[in-house]
Amino acid sequence: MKKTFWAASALLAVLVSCGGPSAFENSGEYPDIFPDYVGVTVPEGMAELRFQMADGRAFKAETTREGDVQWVTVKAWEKGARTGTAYKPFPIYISQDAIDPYIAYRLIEPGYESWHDISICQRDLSGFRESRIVDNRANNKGCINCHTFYGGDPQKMLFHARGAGGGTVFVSGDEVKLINLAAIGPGKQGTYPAWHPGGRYIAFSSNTTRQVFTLADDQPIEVYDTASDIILMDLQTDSVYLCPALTGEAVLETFPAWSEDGGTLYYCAAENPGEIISQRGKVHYKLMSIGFENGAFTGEPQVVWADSTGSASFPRVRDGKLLFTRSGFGTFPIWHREADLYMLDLSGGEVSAVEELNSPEADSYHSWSSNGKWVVFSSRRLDGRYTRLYLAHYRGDGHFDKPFLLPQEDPAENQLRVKSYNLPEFLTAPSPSRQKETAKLFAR
Amino acid sequence: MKAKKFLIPAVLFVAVFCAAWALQRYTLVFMEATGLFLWTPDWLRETFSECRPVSHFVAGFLVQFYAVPALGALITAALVTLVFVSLSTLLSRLGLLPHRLVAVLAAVAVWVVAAFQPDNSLLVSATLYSLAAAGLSLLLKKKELRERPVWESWAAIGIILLGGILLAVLPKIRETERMAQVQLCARNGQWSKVLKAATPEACRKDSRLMPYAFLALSGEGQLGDRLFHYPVTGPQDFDREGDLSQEGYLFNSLLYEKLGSPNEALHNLFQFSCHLPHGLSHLSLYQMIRYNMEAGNYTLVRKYADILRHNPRSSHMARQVLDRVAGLPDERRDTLGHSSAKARVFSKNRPDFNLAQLELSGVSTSLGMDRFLAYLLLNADLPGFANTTSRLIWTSGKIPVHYQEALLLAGVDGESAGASAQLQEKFADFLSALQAQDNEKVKALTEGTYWAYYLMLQDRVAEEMLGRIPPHEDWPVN
Repeated sequence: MKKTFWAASALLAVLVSCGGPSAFENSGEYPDIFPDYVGVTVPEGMAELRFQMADGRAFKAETTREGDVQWVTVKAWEKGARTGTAYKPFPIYISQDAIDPYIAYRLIEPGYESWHDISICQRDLSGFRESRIVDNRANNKGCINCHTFYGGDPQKMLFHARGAGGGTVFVSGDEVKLINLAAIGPGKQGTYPAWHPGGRYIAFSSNTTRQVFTLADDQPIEVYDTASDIILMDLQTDSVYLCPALTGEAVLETFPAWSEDGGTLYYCAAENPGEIISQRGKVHYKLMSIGFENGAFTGEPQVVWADSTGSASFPRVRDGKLLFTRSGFGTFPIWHREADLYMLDLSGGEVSAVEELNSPEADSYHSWSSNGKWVVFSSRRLDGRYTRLYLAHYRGDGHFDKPFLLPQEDPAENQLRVKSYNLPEFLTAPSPSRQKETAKLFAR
Repeated sequence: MKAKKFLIPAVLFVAVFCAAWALQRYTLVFMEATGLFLWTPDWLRETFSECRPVSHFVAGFLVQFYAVPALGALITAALVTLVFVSLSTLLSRLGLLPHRLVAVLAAVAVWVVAAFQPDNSLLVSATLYSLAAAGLSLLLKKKELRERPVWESWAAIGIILLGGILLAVLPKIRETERMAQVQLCARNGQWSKVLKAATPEACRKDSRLMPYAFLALSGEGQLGDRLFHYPVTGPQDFDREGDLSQEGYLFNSLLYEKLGSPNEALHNLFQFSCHLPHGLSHLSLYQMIRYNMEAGNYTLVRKYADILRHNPRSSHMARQVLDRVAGLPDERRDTLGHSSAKARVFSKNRPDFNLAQLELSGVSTSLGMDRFLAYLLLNADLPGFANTTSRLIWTSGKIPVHYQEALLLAGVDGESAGASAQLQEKFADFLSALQAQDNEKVKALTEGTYWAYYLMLQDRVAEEMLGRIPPHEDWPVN
């Protein structure tokens, strides 16, 4: 009898503590939650935006939907407290602009020279399921990077798999092949790829990349290129070509990106100062363009944007707008805290910072969804080192709605994961695993 | 009868506990340092994608307690005893005789072989397999076994003692223990313990100890007096720069921590972690917290402490850290990348270069100066050494002995070199013996001095010039 009493009392105590206090003081403020989902805009059908109180307090949340706005009412309390705080309901705006159902990204420790585990993963945006497309167990722990899909189609993708016997892995449907680009054509390795909208060509930059480590500076790593050119691959003939206008030691060309009609290649270029590391503060990459027709580059390179105090990376064009990353100097913005996203209006030439997306930490790689209504971009705003993915709705006229952190099943995972998310790209459908086929290429 | 039944497992448990506690305590602590158990989705996902997930999970869970040597020894003893009890049950059910003797032999074999491993996974796997086999054997009908003869117990105890002796004498196990002791004591700044383990004799057998010994000598303020008592053959023995192994990176993270460069300490720590099964370890997390704390990067301190909070043993400590840094803003200054653009201090795989770079950036430590002087000596840069020391003020009031020897060799007069009359006399004798080509006398006079190192280097350069050995590019001998 006594035992039963104590058991019942304990159960009651647990139930009471789970339910929280019965009295709440109203607050006129929005709750301080992590991740900050107050006032963000999400696509219809997006995975639930799970959050926690930023200060770790217990809480309960109730949601109600009014049209395209979801109102979230949060009540929070200290454990064991008799009263809590009822916050002003905050809105989550729901956009009817569709978003591609998946995103692909690379997970890697934000390390220095070596790595432990690298994987190219995909995430279903309507839920929390993450799966691996391929990881570096396939190529004997070598590096895998620069995954790219043709128009977001998972059936046509490529990625580099480095290490002994490495090269570029091309996937087309069920066919998976490995090509060492340096072994064909002009003998240059491919680095950053851009798939032509027609599907037949891929422009690669071919970079000789180095890095240095600072002994006593806030920025621990500087990554730079000592040489870089742009090469063109014809997938129909598996051949690689050089373009005289895009090669040469005097200029560093990198980050190719096609216009939507495929008639223009945008890229970044800087004068090569020779001894880069001592001169790196003066290395400012411009945005350039060159025509493309019938499988050949035409005309002379044109300067699209240049700034003696800034450097451009990752141009991405959609509907006459060019989104790019601007850092103080150099070519590897993720280690630059000042790196921000900028938008260039290709018709008028106006450039402005996309304030809605930027933060005091590095905001860097970005991709447009296939309909140009959403962007996914990488940012180090949470802690300055581990890159996380944010999605934002494009309102038009160069403006975005407030971005939201890719939601996780447990919001704490945003902090607990000790890997960075690299190169986010939208996918129009889920990708099958390419692990076995890739492993076979390296088992030979 | 009942007491007799428990005799062998009791002796085995006590013996393993005592041996592990006395002979492997640092090895066990080091296992905890390089192991990882986190109750986080990523850790669980990675662990359960391994080929033996249960074994990995249990091994990871147990290893966190190895930080306390007595607990580590207790767990080791319990596991070995469980192997014995399980195998004994299995064999008795199968009717194989003498089941206890065979079981004790197998358990001791597992114990000794596991002592060679860098982690506890083999011991845990063996225990789990034995338990599973014993569990299955319980389905068999119990067999009547004959009374155990007395000699069987004595033989079993003999086997257990043999296991303990093997742990005490097998060189590989002793080396592992000594290395772990040196690494852990150095990390805790217990320099006298490091020097006690990394003696010149021990360094002759295992040169990996030498960089730790030199760090400890600096810590004790004795580098300039004792450096050449050690079998140092060049700058490569002095540190582990360019050593791409797990041990090399671990040493360098410690070195740069002591030199006041959290950036390089973190760099080497990340590199060290890449060699580990989860790309991270308890030690990595502790050190990341420490280095980021030193760098004033409290956001990352909070992140790593938050992760460590998911380790049952370190949870309390992690919470303390979180309380300590709650609300602290980061001390990083460069939000616009301007100072980064001007930063000139980059690391290279050259320690002397890195030391100079640190000095350029205003990071100055007595360890850095100590090591800079040592590099000058090891590179036989006597003019550079004399020039540098002429501008130093010796706080101890006395120039270290090796420095006196080097200064005499550089042609500095005895008084300026701070050399005693006895040392000056010894130097004169050395020069005379050298001129007379009296090798025996030269050897006797120079043993444990900088002069011996310098001569060895000159001989080597001569050998190189004669083409007898390949040239060594890093020795700019004057």
